Amino acid sequence: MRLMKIRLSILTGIACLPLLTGCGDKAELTEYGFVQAVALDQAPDGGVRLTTHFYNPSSSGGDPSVPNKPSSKGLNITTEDDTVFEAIRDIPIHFGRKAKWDHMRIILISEELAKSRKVSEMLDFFSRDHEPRATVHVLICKGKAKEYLSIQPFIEYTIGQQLKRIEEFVIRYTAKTTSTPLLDLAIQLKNETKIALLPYAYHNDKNNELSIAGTAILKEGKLVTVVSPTDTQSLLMLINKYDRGIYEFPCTGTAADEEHPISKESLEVMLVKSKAIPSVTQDSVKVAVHIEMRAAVGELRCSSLQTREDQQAFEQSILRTLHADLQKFIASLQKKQLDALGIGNKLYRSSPSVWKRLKPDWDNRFAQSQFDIQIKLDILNTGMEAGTPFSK
Amino acid sequence: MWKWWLHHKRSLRSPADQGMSAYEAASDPEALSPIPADLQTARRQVEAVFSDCEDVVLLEWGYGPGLANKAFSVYFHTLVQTKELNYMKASLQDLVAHEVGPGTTVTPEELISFFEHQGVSSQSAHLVDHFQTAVSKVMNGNIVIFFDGWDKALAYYANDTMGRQITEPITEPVVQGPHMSFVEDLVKNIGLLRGLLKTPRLKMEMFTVGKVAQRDVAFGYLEGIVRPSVLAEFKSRIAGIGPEEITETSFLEDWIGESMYTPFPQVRYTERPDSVVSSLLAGKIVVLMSGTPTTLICPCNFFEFFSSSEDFYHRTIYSSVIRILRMIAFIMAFMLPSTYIALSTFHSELLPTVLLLTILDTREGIPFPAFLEALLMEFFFEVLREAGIRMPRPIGSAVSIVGALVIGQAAIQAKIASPVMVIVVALTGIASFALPQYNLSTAIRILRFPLMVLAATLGGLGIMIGFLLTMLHLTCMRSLGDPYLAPMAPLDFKKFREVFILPPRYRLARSVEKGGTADSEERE
Repeated sequence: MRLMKIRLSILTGIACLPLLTGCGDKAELTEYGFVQAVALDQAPDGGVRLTTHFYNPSSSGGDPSVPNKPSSKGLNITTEDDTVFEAIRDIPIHFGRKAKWDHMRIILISEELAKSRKVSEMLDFFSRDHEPRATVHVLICKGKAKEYLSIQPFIEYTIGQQLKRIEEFVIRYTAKTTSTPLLDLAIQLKNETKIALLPYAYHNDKNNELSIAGTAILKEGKLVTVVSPTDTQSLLMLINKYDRGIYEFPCTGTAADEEHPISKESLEVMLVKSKAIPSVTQDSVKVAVHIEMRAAVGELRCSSLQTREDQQAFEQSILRTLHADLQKFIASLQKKQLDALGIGNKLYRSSPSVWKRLKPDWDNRFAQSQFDIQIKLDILNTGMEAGTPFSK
Repeated sequence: MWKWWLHHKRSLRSPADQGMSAYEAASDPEALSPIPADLQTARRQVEAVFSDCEDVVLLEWGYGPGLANKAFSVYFHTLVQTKELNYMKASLQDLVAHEVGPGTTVTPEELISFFEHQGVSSQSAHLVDHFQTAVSKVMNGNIVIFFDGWDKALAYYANDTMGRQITEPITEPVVQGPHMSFVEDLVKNIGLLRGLLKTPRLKMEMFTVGKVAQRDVAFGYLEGIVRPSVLAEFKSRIAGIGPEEITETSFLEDWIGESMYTPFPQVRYTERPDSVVSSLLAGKIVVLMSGTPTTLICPCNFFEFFSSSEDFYHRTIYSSVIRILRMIAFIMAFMLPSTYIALSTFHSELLPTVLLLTILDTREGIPFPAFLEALLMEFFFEVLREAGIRMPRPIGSAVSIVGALVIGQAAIQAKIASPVMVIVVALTGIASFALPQYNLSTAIRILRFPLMVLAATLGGLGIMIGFLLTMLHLTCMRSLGDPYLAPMAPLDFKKFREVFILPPRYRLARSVEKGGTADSEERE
């Protein structure tokens, strides 16, 4: 009888196992359409026009003898509604498959929409629903976002994948844009200054190429301005997000004349560490910025680095230019009263009471604050060549 | 309902018990009867036993003064070589002449007293007291001689059936190490073992099984190294064997094994003398049987199934890596198809995007759900495997070629299966071949299918349930009283590490000698 009881309890235990919770919903791969990218545009009636880019599996069944035509790799479904979710649920009307959002690579928001409506409102669904990931990248784009999804990718499977790759590599090697996954964007939108940075994409109508460079600055969820790619480098240096990139500076010693327009040389920047420390005395804000840069000579045109003195002069000249660039960029931000450097957030963190006092009038105070920039430059080497330009 | 079930169970059990006792009652009285002293009676009895056995030879001859005393010898000419027979006869004559006088003068009394007092003889003769023993001696290839007026018989061992030569092990070939395998001859096999383990501590106990076939079974162990508790358990389990007809060592697993309905093997088999020797040195009990080269090794824990005899012949680091590779292969053979099913039908978000897109390309247009596709391909594969094993060798290759074409190229081009599925099935098959012990790979071959069903119904959760139930089952299992998952559950960290990383040989050798004896002393 005891044995019976044990057996019975084992059976009951096994019978209960399937009642455990697990995540996942049974569906064959062929029942889904896998979303690769989403474009959000302003609809004429004030709603949202949602363009969803699906992956279109080649029907060759993996047979290598049938070449996959790249043209068949993606398809767009456009739906219009007042809310994003409603627009998404309208997809099966046109498509016949359920949209699967797990593998979405990118969310494109048109400049027009970002200017008129809050980006955070548009993205609520993508953050609330369980399928899209918090790591999906958000892009602001020039013109109609829908058009970007009709561009054929070069090598990647879909244009969504290509956009994501472009963004990754731009950040990794040129520092000409920022990277903002959905989660980071949510954090930025919630911070004290309410300023968020998003990468910016634009495309050339003539040859159907698209590029990602520059940074869109959002204030309180709306697009305010777009920073140029060169200025983005300065921005990234100041907020300590610069990874690697190329820094250009004009030739040392020689002034520009008619025969020789300003010739530029470049540095390969390998490491930038920066620290901005705000301090408040009375009502004036001072910010001490310390930048430590490690670089190698990338290209020499006019400078000759033969002696120690040469090198010191070279470094000094770069420092002067860099200093000027950064000051110029800060001034432009101050003019627009945009604290894209997150100085307000830092103040809030270090001395909340002071911040409380300064917050109502912060934009103005930021515009009047003083920046003291200290740069330490370390040029590691001159590449595979000695310190003389190839041309000489 | 429950009452009915209980009653049913009880009634099922009882006939078996009755059967047992009925057998014992029948077998005992007819066991032994003395040999009749009268030669004619003896001859009649012998003729009755061997009636219709036309290969039996009954040879009558006379000895003593005037050849007046009669005797006759019985043997199977199919078991005994003529050369041996002549030699025996001659030597008997010689011996009689040498010990008790010329053949023509030897009297039955002299002969009887000589053999009963175990006189020196160049041939080993056994005195047989009972008729049944005499018959079984004849069946074992002895020449048995009955003498008139003596209630005993003489048996000379003269078996000389042709056996297979010692060859390379077919099922367990190695690159490096000895290239010999056991043969079907028990005596030769034990001889091989004795040649490799020259110690009287190697004990070989023998018994006969089967009421009709009467096959010899021997079990061996190294005294002082084998744990007495294990040996006692083993002996108590095989004590039940006797009347059952056993034709192969694997039959014995039913007595030695703990649970008969588990797919997991509880004993190991080998046909390599060197792996038997290393098992003996590790305190195992080995069972050999006449008529089969397969040797059974017990007790066995789960992780031993990942080791091959060759592991000890290579450098430690290589063997360790290979062992880990085998464990990965085990997990692959067990879980790969179900993981693929779960990932593609439940958790497509877990796949990296580019991989998913590649799979999507191949899956599009396949008419079956992933589970059915996997089941179909696994089924084809199992059929192919079975066909490949049973086919005569020249046809076997044709089967594999056709099969590979059917499963591989044609199925993909006809869009019956996706290439990824073919890869999964093929990898699973190859992974199961990577396991050194065949009986473990048959276990996971069976368990794979329920796991696939679980994966198809509950996804990753189902795999987890299947895995946990399997682990639970393994943890509960024992082999000859030893926990089956031994160094892992109960955990002995040092030994568990040795499962994955073989210690250098000098340390291994030390631990066998020291650990084995120390352990046994402790337990006593």
